[in-house]
Amino acid sequence: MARFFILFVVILVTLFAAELTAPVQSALVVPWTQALVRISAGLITFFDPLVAVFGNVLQSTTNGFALSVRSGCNGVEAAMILIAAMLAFPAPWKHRVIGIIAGLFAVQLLNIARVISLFYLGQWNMTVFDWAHSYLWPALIMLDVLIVWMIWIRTLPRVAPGRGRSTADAAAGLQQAPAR
Amino acid sequence: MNMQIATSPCPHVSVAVKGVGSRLRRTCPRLLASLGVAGFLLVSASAQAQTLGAAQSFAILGGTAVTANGAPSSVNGDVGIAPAAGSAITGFPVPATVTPPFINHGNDGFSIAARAATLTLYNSLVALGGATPILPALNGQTLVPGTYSTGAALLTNGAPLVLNGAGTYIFQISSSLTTNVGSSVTLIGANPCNVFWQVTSLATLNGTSFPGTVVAQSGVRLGTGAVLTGRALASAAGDVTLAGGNAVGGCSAAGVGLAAAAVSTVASPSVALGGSISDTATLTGGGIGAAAPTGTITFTLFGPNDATCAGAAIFTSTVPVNGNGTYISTSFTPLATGTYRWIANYSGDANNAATANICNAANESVLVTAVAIPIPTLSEWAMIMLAGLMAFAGFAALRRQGK
Repeated sequence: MARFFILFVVILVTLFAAELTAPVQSALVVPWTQALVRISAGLITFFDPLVAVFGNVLQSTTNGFALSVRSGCNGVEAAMILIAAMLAFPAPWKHRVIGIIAGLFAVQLLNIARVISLFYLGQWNMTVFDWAHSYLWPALIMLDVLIVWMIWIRTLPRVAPGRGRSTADAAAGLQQAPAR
Repeated sequence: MNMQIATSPCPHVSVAVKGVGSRLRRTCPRLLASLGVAGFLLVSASAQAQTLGAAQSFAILGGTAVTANGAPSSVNGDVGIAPAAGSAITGFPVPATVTPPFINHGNDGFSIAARAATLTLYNSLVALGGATPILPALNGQTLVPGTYSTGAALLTNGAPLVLNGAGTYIFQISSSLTTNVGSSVTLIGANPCNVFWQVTSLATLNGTSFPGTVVAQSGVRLGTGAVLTGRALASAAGDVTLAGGNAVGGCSAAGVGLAAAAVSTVASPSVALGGSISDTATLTGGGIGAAAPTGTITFTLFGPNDATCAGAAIFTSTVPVNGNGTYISTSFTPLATGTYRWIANYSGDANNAATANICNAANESVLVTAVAIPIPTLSEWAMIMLAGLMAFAGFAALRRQGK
């Protein structure tokens, strides 16, 4: 357990530190953020053509309301927490990869839904927008990550009876604790 | 009266009787009918061609206002106003359009010069002597080139007024000139650009066709659908009004022999509300040396979201010109989001033609966006809470597995 905690903190700090570096920002964070804006705008234009994209800004051409999707708005931090947890938890690499990919999809799909909903809520009612932005959507994103995390843990291979060592640990190359 | 009227009933013979300064001739109706006209054929004192000077390029010149309403109208000549400000020109370019290369002149050097030329023309027309009096009811009259005078002239939708023959026609009207809906003037060999109407009060033109340069003290009003092949020039105290669906012009010529200056423009990029916008114009094609462009470039800003620049300009910046080159407008800070449109035009000078850029020219739109609201996915505390909850769930799972 202590190993999981230490690894989780170390990976988490490493990922957050890496995110702040210029190469990661230019190669990953900024392109993804711009892609997120374009994806959101593309989905909106399916049913509402009155939307324009300027860099990281999503704007209604009818009333001028605009959202700025910056670093921190792109769901990357939530995904990094999930990735750190999955890498720290003793599990086979195959499961880790599957879990990370599924987790990224889950987080980013919900984040796109968040951006689109906030784009319209802001045009409709700023009070509702503030409430959804500050409370509802953070709670839903956290719930989304937790659900993915719990499901992933439950899908991991069970500990073999009588062996005192899970196949997951074996696959992860972890040493079995000596029997008392 | 130095005029005689021939009243011979002879059906085939035109009788001309010379007076001191004028001739009057009448033909029999059968002969006129064979020519497609009916009524009197009058011969008046020969009229000299008139010089319009600086007003030559103008199709419309108002003193107090120039207004276009209703359905789209077209003006084939410069539109100007003086001494009132340029803002008193309304309805251009929508619903009335000015055919390039002609442009609007809002109390600039051109319209001021045209104002003076119009006054000179008016006084010159008034001063002409030897005019032949004609009946104010213009219908059915057939006139040859000359100078005519009458009172409150009226042309109804009956038989047309016929101007028969090449030459200059000058009408001195001591009161108002009114043409009713459906009225028309028939020209037989006459050039509408050689017809001049000096109107002491108001000219109201509602007919389907009317030729000539109308110079009216109280103003010129064109009714719906009225066509004026010539010019509508009001005095300094008069206005020009187009009711809609009008066509005015056909006698104006843009500056001949002037260098063809051109203005290409690039507006500043999109900004968020609170930022400032400007326009950059590059003047090319003007003369060189002593003929280098002088005058001004006027940057006019419309918006927000005025797709045709039909509303009043919200900002104007005038920059003096000193040769071909690049000129930048004064910055403007919009107070509302939306698309703003610049129009930049060179005023022209004695050696260089003015430009006639219009709304929605390339690179002349600027989008002013709202101040965008950032929407972070999770706050710092939410991330800490999420990491804690995941760590707790991980602990619980490991504990269940006995590790």
